[in-house]
Amino acid sequence: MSNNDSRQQNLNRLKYEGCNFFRQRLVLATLSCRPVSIVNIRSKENDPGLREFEASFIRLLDKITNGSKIEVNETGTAVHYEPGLLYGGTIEHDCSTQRSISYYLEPLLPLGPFCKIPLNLTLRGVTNDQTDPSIDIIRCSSIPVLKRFLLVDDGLLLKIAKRGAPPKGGGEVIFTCPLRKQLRALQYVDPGKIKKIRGVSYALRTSPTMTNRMIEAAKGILLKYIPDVFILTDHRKGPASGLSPGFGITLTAETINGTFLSAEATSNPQGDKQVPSVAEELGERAAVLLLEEIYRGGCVDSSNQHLVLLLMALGPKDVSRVLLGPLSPYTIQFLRHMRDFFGTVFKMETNARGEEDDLRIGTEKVLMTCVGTGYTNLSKTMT
Amino acid sequence: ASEAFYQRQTGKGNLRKLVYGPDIAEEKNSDESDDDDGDEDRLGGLFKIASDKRHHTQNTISAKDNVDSSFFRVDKLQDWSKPEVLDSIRDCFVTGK
Repeated sequence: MSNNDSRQQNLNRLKYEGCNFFRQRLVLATLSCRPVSIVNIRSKENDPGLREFEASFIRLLDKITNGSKIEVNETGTAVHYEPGLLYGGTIEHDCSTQRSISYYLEPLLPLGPFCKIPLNLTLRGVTNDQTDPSIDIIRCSSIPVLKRFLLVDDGLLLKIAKRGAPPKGGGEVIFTCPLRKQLRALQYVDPGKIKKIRGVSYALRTSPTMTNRMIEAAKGILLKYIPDVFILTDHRKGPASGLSPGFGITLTAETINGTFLSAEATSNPQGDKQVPSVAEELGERAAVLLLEEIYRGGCVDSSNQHLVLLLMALGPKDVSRVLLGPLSPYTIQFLRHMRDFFGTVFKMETNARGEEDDLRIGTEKVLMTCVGTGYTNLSKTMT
Repeated sequence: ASEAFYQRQTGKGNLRKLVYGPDIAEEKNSDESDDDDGDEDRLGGLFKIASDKRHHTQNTISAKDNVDSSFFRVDKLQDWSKPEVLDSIRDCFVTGK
């Protein structure tokens, strides 16, 4: 009997290679309750196997679930994961400073509503770095996406208690998420026009004038389009500013329909081989990246495409539609994974624009349509 | 046959192929290509193979151990100092048309 069971499991098990897309594979495995094996992780590199930040993510996933079985082989080049139940509750986690907190938080956003006990997560580490979307982007544009699926945001909160720049970090972020039995379907095909641009400019353990220099440079470009540009300064002192110096700027364009498009620029970390960043250059770079993001367009920005598509697929057995800009490579791989784990296949239509309305709105957009899997929270039988 | 060819050109099928690999696209096209055996079909066949190969290498070799990040990195940004580039997104704003 048990032999039969394990054979059944092996048939169900999905196999992947390489360390890329590590988080989405584990998260999709958790949601779909399917075991997954990832082999040949950096097997051809001088330093093979899992890195510290990936091991840290596995530990975090272990904390949030109950009864997960995770096996890592001796060299760390293979991971076997059998997901348990999503549990949630109050969790504290010290993230590796190799990657930012958003690396950890980003894949956990879609897990939040399906826990047994409301999630109250405290993560410590680096809040803003150059590899991942910063915590400000998660706060400004990912949280509104999640909110659309929850209907009422009773207790959906992301608080940046302390900031921390690489390499030492020292930041702290608190995330709480309410429970849902089921998500709602999404119909979101008109992003609307941009009415204002907001932003945060922060300087940690450096001169507070950095923030104003970045703001001036960014405004110089953005004011060509719209007069309503307002960028907050966030200069922190003492323990709230983390352990390493650093500065950066995050910009968010908000439309009349509640779409948030974000872009950011962050200074080079201390002790890096590159030359120290110049504040004006960062401000300009962030502004140009925001324009690029607006050019791509769509109802969510490019770093949140995978989030909105996953939440759509987890929705009720109903049709969901969303308009996106060009799909990022990360999203394309995510779509393939979603087909593997859930069997969800999206219908993709490039919007044929009419001849008569020659609006200058950047590149071609893609209309994504899918039928939800009717995913429900197993631990929440009553509403 | 020409209809199938145009459909391939319009990017609708291509995007699907790009994301889910050639198998689904073939499934869709199979009933159309049954009744025609002209040059276009072979052209389509050639085209499919080429894209398939590129797809394969992209997936298995270069991207396998890349950095896992959801950022959409673009190799070359547009030159936003040019007025015509600036104008290309003018109507995304309430101040536009």
